[in-house]
Amino acid sequence: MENTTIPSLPAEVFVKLSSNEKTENEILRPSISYWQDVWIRLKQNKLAMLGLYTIGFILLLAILGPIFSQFSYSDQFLDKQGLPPNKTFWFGTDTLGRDMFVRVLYGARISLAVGFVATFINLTVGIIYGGIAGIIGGRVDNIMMRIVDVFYSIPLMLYVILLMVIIGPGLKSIFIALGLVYWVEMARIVRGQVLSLKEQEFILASRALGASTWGILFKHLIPNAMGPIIVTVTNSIPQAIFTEAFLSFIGLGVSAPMASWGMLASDAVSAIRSYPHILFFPALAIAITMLAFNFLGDGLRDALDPRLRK
Amino acid sequence: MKDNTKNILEIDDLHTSFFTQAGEVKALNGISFQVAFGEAIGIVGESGSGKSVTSLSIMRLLANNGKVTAGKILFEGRPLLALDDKSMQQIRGNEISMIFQDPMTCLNPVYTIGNQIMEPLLLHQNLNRKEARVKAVEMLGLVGIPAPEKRIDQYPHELSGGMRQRVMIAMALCCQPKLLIADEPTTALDVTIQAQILELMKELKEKMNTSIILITHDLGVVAEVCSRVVVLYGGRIMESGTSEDVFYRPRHPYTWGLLRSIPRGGERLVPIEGQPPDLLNAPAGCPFCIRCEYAMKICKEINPEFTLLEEQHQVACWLLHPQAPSVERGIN
Amino acid sequence: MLKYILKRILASILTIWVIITITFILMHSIPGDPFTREKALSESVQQSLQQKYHMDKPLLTQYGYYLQGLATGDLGPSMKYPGETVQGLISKGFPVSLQLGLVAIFFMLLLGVPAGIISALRQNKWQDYTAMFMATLGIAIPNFVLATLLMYIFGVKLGWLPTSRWVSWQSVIMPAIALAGYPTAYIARLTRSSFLEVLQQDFIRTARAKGLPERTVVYKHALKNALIPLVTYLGPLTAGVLTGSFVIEKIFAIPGLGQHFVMSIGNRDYTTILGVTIFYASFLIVMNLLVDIAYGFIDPRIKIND
Repeated sequence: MENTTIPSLPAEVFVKLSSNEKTENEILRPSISYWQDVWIRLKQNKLAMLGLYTIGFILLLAILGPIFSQFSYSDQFLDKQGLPPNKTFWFGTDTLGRDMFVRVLYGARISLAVGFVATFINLTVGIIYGGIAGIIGGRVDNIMMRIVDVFYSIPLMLYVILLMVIIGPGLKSIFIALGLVYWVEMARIVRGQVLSLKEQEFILASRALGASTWGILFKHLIPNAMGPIIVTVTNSIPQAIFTEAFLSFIGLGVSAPMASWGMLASDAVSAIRSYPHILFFPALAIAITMLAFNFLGDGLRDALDPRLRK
Repeated sequence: MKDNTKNILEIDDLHTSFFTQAGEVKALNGISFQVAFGEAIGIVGESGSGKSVTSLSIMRLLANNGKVTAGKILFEGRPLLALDDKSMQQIRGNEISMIFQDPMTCLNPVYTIGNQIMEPLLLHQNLNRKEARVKAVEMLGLVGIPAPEKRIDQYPHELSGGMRQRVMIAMALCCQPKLLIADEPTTALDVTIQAQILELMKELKEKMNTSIILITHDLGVVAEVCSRVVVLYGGRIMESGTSEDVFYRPRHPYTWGLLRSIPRGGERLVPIEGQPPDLLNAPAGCPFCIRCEYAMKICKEINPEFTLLEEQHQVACWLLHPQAPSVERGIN
Repeated sequence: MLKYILKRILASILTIWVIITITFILMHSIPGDPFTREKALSESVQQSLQQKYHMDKPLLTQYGYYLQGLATGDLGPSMKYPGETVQGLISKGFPVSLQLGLVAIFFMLLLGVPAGIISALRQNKWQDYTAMFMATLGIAIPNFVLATLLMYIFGVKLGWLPTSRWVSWQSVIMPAIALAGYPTAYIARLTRSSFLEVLQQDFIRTARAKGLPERTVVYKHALKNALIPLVTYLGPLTAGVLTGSFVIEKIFAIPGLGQHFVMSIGNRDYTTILGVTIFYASFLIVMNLLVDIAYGFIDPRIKIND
């Protein structure tokens, strides 16, 4: 067996290390909470932030814009019909001489209101329904979900249309119709979350400490299910806006002279040959809003995914 | 020095890294070992020690962000790292085969097992479909699957975990490879099935004179099958030698820790304190330093060289330096 | 396997029945009856019509008659068009809508699936970014916006394609593209993510470890697995095309069932609304049933498990 000469080393290097000395240089990454991490990740996503700012901007315009305009949405200037954009009328005028810019802003109010209110209703009903189904489980859950399945077997849009036919047109009817139908999506998500969370250990611990079923549901399960709930909400808002626009297109929307974006687009179709700009601006508004929510929704979904956590 | 013609595989100073958003993760930091013809060697280590990465480096199946950054891999004298994709494909499944840990997920659920076993046969051995099918049935029988002519047309989800692993083995061995790499083949299986699979592997090794690299964290498994052992930690080799050397005459504190932590009836479990090393910011010096109860100043600064003990027994530890204090090996 | 199919058929029939009942009740909760609205009809004519259609009987009896009618394919008279029956309207309009829908679906699959696959294989390269950018636009832009845009550019400005009616094969192009917009984008994204997920699976690594060429790994092993989730989407896809047709047919003045439906809504033609809704619902439920059965044939894991 060969024995290469082993160089002699100073005796002190063979002194034993204390445990402090061992861990001295260990670089420990600071631990941050889940939500902090989510926010950081979201901020890095440029598209999502663009979406967020755009939505904020549109909201601002919708709330404050009409106040600063000299026109109201129903003022008609019959001598100024169908004008393309100019200095007075930034978006031009429609076939009845109304200012398109103000009408688009009012449209923003209505469309966004529909989006937020309908989604809020869906959120509430969905959380309660899904939460109950999830936490009670068993036969109750089975029956509740069968009902949801029947809902899902035909497109939800059909239900909305039927309801609108029965209730009659108008903004309130739209809130009711959308609220009564689209909660099923939220219910499914919440139920799924509750089911998977309720078997986890922190719930067991909570029960062992004497917490009631309802307490557990509202204090623990639902807050922990917030991730998917938030993503669903961000997708429900543009869906509601789209549905309202769709309804307007087939004649079931808000009544004139009130104008949602859908109404504006619907009116504009007949005038498309002569006055294309009447369609352009509402269509652009819808497209931008939907895109903004879409980017934000995608970004949120990625940011909330615990598997992507660094 | 190892005689070149006796070795089917030679790994020389292999460095493999993964390039992530957070930086370069050095999974292998200078690994060298050899596998002789007809030999079974075991690579032992915890998760993160680099054992799977070693096998993936040999097969060149690293993920997209993984790369061998230095070193040589010689298979029957041929440098594997220099081969182009096509040549490498001719070697995989044909001359070197690999089986993986989880038989539940390793088979394609939408094709029959017959279809999947016949693939390497059709590809590498130039058989026609009829011949391939006959051979596939034969292999299934060889690995101990009952009624193979019926099973061959079944889908993976129709078989149990143990049977699926047998199918994996059949698939890996059907082209009679010279080297089989088995990455934790029994970890996902029941203990009783584990024993059967190991038995099977030993049998087939004898019959077909296949060399085996068995990767595992379970020393018991190594003792069953392997004649030599390599102990990995933090991307480096801590100790290597014959099974006897490592089990009866271990000289590295990590090996002592591993042997101590084998569950024995009636005794308390003695774990190795601490966490696996952070390979992103790998410390200089011995990777085991932080967790080692005998760590000395020099251990923190400089990575120990290998000391050769018996003929094949090597240990990388500063405790073997003549100037180092002699230590009592821990609780036996 | 047979048990699986039978269970699904039974569930479908049950669902259809529930929908018929609910829709019937909803429609009849609207005050008034079909004939009091027609000012042109005289008292006596009204009365005899009411008797003929059992309007004077209690609701449950009317329900019974309605079901009977359904069984023989009689969906009642249209309220707006004297002499027209609901089933007549359906048989005139549905074939048109069906043609439009099939062309749209053809576009979707032809464009969406390959786009998704290419995106997945060239992840994070320019092909991926371009395709996914287009897909995001497709998802966000509502179909009626797309329809009017197309109509303006290709119909009005360039004059290449007809902007209305159902005249020649060119009439199909723009409406079909507008209908296909959203689903195509969705399919592209779904295929891409499904493919990427499959490529991460262990059995793909096994395939490579066997020495199979990358081509085989991708097109044999990965593809079939990746397409399975697409089949599940076919149900909602048909539903989307169906509801999309309401708006598209209106914009392009295509005499399909969607347009009749929308007009009957505007006319408050309740019998037609009821009949067409039931028709649509049944159609979709049958489509979902067929998709479920097809799914059972495609994914071997389903065959045994039910």
